[in-house]
Amino acid sequence: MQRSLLGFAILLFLISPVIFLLFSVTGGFQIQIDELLWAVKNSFFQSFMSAFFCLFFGFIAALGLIKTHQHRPAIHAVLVVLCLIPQFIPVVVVLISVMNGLQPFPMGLPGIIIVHVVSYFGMTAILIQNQAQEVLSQTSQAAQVIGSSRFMFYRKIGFPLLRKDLILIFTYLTAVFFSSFSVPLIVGGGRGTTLEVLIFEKMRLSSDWSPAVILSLVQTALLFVLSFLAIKGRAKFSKQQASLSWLGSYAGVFLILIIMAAFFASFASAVVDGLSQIGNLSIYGTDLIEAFLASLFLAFLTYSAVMGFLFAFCGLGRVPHYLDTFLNGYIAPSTALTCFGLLVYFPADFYWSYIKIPLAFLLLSLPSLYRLGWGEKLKSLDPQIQIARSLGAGSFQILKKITWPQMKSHSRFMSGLVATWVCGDFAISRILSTRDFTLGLIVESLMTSYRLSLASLLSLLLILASGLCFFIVLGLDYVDNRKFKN
Amino acid sequence: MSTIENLKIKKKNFQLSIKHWEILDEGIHVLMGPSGSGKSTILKAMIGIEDIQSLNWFYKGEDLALLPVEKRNLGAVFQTWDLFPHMTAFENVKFAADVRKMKSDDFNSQWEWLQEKLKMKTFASTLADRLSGGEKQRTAFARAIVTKPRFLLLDEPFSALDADLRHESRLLLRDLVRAQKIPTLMVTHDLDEARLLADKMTQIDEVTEILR
Repeated sequence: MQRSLLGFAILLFLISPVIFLLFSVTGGFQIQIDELLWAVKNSFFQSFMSAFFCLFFGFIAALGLIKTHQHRPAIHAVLVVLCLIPQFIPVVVVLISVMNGLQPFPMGLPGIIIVHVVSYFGMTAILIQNQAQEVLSQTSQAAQVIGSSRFMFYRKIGFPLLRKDLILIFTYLTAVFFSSFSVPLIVGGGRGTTLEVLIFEKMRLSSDWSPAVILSLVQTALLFVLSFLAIKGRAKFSKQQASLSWLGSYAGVFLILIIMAAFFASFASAVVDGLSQIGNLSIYGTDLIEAFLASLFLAFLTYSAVMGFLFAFCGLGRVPHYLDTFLNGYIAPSTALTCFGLLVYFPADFYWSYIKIPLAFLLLSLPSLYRLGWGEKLKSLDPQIQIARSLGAGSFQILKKITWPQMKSHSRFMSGLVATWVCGDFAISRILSTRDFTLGLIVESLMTSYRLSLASLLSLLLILASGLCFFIVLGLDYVDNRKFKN
Repeated sequence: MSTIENLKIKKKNFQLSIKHWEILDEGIHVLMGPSGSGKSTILKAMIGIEDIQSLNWFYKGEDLALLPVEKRNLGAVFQTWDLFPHMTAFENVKFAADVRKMKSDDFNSQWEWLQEKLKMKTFASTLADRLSGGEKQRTAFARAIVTKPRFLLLDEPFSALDADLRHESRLLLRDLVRAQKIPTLMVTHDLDEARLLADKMTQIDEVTEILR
């Protein structure tokens, strides 16, 4: 009974922004259909094209990962890290690097697509490689023995077998890009307004929020459909460790190296340009130190909120099926909708930002954390929980002695990851705060006023704050583990 | 005897029902049947981790099925043993004693006896994750019987062991439950195992009506 109530409370919490919005709708709706259709068209166009190019470049990069997976493990590890870097560093760093590298930068939909592709092609490559390893292992060895060429294998066996997985990855990416907010906000410009940005503009520029509520609900419905399509019909294959090296190609290795080398070079050049303007930082006075500390404080609050929530989640013991399905299917919660829900519910006073921002991150990151392996780890404890129950242990004993000791380290890592995202954030803070009080917000203001060099310089501080945050978490974990061992 | 009544299990493409089944309340009762016939599901229903509303399990005048899992006072060992990997072998056994609020004198004497009988001294302070298969199994047995449960339920506990270790473990189990006088229900598909251990044997199709 307690477990059902807790499960239901968690579900309710996750969908609370939608509930807040539904209750905030009053009176008639006024919405310009042309504007809505235009934003929906832009959202679909940028998300489809971003997903398509991510899949294209990701596939080539995956060939490089496949080539090195078993015979060159050290190179493979380096390539995987390179692929993941754009996912884990603050978005502003990716934006600065891409905007500085491509001059003149194509603002609008092409700009959005380029930034998305640079951010996600590496992760797509890893997804494709994992799927190929799972799906093609059995058949590739047989085909090799028969004497099939690589081209023939891909044409007759590889693509037909992988087709469904590639479509699923494409749909998953489309859902993620559809709800992308920070990138369209900066590089969308007037011509690339997506649904997310339109909601933001309606909230910011108009005192009548009903159009924004309608847009948010339309957005949620579209995301729900995309998420549903992305999780449907996933086939299961047995894990094999057969070498797929003959199916890989060094072209993929070169693609990863070239893109990432250009990425780092462009960022370094932007920072060097920024150094020439270091004197201009004096206008900020102590604001920068305050912003640095405020970013760290927000990260700490978010870390505590996520840890607290994950602890409560562990109290469930066994995850109810409906909650597991929901968290796996809720691929891309809408940033605008979530933040809008919190805006509606909480007072507008500045100090509430310290509550609203951590809450927004908690709501937005939980489904991702769950799918990033935290949920699987918790579910893997099911047999132990069953045994503990049969031995007579109550829910709290199971949480304290069995579940939490085994989930603590993983939870801390995940919470630390979210805390680093908070350090580098500007988009969520922009919606939820009335002041530029974090480093991310100051950098974003500089970028939108075309002072890219100074923004680049300050982004170093942002990287420092994110890194510091992550290493503090790792340090905490190390100390705790030592204490536990002793 | 204890009796199982009205056990009805309905899954997606599998249904079985037991109207009445008598189980020994001393010694080892073996439930035999091929893989996939529902033996483990019956065991889980008895433990209470498979929710079956209609089930009655009468034992010494009490319907155990009405009790929540933690109040049934059962011991269980599954195929995979399911030790708590972050605890040592000793801590795994102690956990069971703690949750049943066993007095420390009783635990100490029982632990001494189990340690001796199951030859656990050499690995008692080793993390469960690092134990060998045989050691894991002995720890799982010790954890299941340390509190002298009213019933011990075993789900193919020897299937993951090497053949040479299996025979030794079977004899060890037989000695253990006889010495502690714990009624035991074991499910298996291995006829040799059943012949060696069973005081009474039941084929699953004798008591169940299986509808697929």
